[in-house]
Amino acid sequence: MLNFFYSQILLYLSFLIILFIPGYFLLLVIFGKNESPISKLERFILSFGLSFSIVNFIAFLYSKSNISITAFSSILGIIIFSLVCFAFYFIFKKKNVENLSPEKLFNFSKNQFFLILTLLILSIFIRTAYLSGTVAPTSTDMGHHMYWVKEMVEKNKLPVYEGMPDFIIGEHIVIGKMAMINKMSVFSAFPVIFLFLINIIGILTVFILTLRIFKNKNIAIFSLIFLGVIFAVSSPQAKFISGGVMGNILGNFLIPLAFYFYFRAFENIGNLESEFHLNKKNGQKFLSLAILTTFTLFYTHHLSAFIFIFIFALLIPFFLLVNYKNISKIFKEGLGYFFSFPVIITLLTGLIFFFFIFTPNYIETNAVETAVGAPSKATREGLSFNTLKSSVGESRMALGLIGLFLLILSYKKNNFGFAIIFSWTIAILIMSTKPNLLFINLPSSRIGNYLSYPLAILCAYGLYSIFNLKTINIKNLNLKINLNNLILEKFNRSIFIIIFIFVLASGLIDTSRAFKSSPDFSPLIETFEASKYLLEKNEKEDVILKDHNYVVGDSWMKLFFMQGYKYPQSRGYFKRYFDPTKPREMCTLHMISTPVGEEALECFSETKTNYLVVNPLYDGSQFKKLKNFDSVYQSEGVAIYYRK
Amino acid sequence: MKFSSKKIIIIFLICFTLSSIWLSYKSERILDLNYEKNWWSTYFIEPKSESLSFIIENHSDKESFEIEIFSKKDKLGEINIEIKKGDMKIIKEEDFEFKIEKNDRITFKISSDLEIREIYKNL
Repeated sequence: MLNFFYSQILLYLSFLIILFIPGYFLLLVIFGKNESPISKLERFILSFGLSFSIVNFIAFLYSKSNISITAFSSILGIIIFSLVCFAFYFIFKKKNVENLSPEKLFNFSKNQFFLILTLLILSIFIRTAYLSGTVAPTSTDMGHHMYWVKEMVEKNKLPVYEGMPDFIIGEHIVIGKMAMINKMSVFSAFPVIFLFLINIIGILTVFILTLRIFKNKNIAIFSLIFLGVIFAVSSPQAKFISGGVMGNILGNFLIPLAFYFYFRAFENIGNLESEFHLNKKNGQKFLSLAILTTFTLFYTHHLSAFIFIFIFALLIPFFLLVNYKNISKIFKEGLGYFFSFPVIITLLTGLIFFFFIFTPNYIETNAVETAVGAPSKATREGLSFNTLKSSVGESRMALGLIGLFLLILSYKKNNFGFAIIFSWTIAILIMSTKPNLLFINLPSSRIGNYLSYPLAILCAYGLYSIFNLKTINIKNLNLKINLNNLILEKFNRSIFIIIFIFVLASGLIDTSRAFKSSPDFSPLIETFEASKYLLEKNEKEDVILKDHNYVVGDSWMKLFFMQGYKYPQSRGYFKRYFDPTKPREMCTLHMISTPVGEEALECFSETKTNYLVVNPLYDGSQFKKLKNFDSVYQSEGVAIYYRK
Repeated sequence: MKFSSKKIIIIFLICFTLSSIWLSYKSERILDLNYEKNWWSTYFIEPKSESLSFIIENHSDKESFEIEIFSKKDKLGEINIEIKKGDMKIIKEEDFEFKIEKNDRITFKISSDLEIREIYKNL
């Protein structure tokens, strides 16, 4: 019990040190403490994202300087960074004081306050309830990621990924450093708790982004409903947390964070009448942070970065196009932001890191080229509208599209935030349904998952707008409706209630479907115990092959041996061996499925495989007939055969 | 009463902490070999040598185990043992009351209720 509490204290300490302190001090030096353009809530939320960035960049510096990445050196780096920030803040604090009133937007009424709390508690509660049954280390993706985290912890240096472009360094540095400090096993709940926190902070980032863009607390609160409470379990939410889909979870955190900073930078571009006017210096500071976050995204997940590029490629021309009358002013102001000391320094530093200090492995390999071009598989040819609808939730899709329609109707052309939400939605819609138009060769369903975030904002906007038709600038359509008409207001109210109940019900039904009825974890434990047995008996010359089809939690076996990402060898899903486009490695299939066949005998002699880990129910009989295989270990779900 | 964002942060932190304590507790339970588990295994102590000593490890609610020993298909004898949940039993070659000739496949068929495990060595 004492150990449990000790490990819990270390866990929260590691969160505080790695995921909060550096970002907090960076914000302190940039914006000061009081009267800054960011509220307390924003400071709290943004500190996580910026800490994530800083910790990554400190690790790159260590790696380049051949400094061991240990708990001590990690904490020391953060202390030095934070002290430097604090020293600068202390020296220049008087200059940082600006007369701004950001808290006004963040002071909530009693009802709003309790609604936000209820939604936050519900968001956490639903996810916790789901994760309670799925926190076990079973998922394949999580197993793969935790291998690299464990390697980083054991070798005290950044993993090199054996040339595999699908793993990106930013996915593992922060969690790796936390594991060094809190000493928790990667088999524990710690990785899930880490992703859970990132997911929730991502939702809160969307909340502050929505609040800033629409300057409307109710719309922001609605965004919490659509992202935090409804569809809280389906992809890319709690299911991705337990599934260890790290890149997607981190991407869905960093993309809104980057948009938040870009929005704050260009919030007032060509819009001097704004009540929330920021001075040019603050715009430059926000732009620097936006660039820092963008680099972090590129260091963290290639697919998210790829999607971000496409959104940005649509965002800038779209914003300029709708503001073509103001284009010279926007250019002038934009260039004024860009060609400034903080922005140029951040950009140059980012580029130096990216190309000279630590280049992500997907740049060094051919991953970028393979992502561009004509779709090479049916799964990359785009989703049908129906598939996309069921992927993001039918009701969310419907209300989101209504929100998009209403956003277009009431479009505020000089609101950069409107352009962000529009481009965010449209770019992902095109990328996931018509990838051939953009020459994208990536799994369409993976792209489609990213749609739920902008859709949640649009749902919030749509729902609020239906309820408050006055907010829509319908004079654009030359419509004349007496909005004070009592009947219309009652009609609005009824529509609001019907739509809200429909969306809430479908969202919660979706969530309830995902709950598992108390699973039996015995098969998982059997796999781990069999792995421990092999680890104990394993000698240098031994080679293990395990089955991925029928052995539960097999992808975690490599974490026991730590002899390379591809050790033990694995018989993968059967369909993977039958690829008409290219020849596949077949030995792992032959050695388990037909161990007496000629191909298998050749494979055994070539690979020196002598231990086979299979499920005896499915793969026991073929070994039982053979005299050169001993059955040396057996439980219900795992059998180990030793080949003489 | 002021409804500031500071209170939201504090309540968020409390909720998240409670949630992660619960998840950590659940995870410890899941990784516990015995808690709500029902499995047992048997394995040779030395998988590579000719030694026939083996272990039965019990993490199930069953406590009675029957061991039958076969040379090829001929039954050499049987032993009944009791193992409590969470315990293991080492069965050494010298524990057998009969001699095992190591010239063919020696199979240990262990059963408890209707569940059967087989380990064997081809000697």
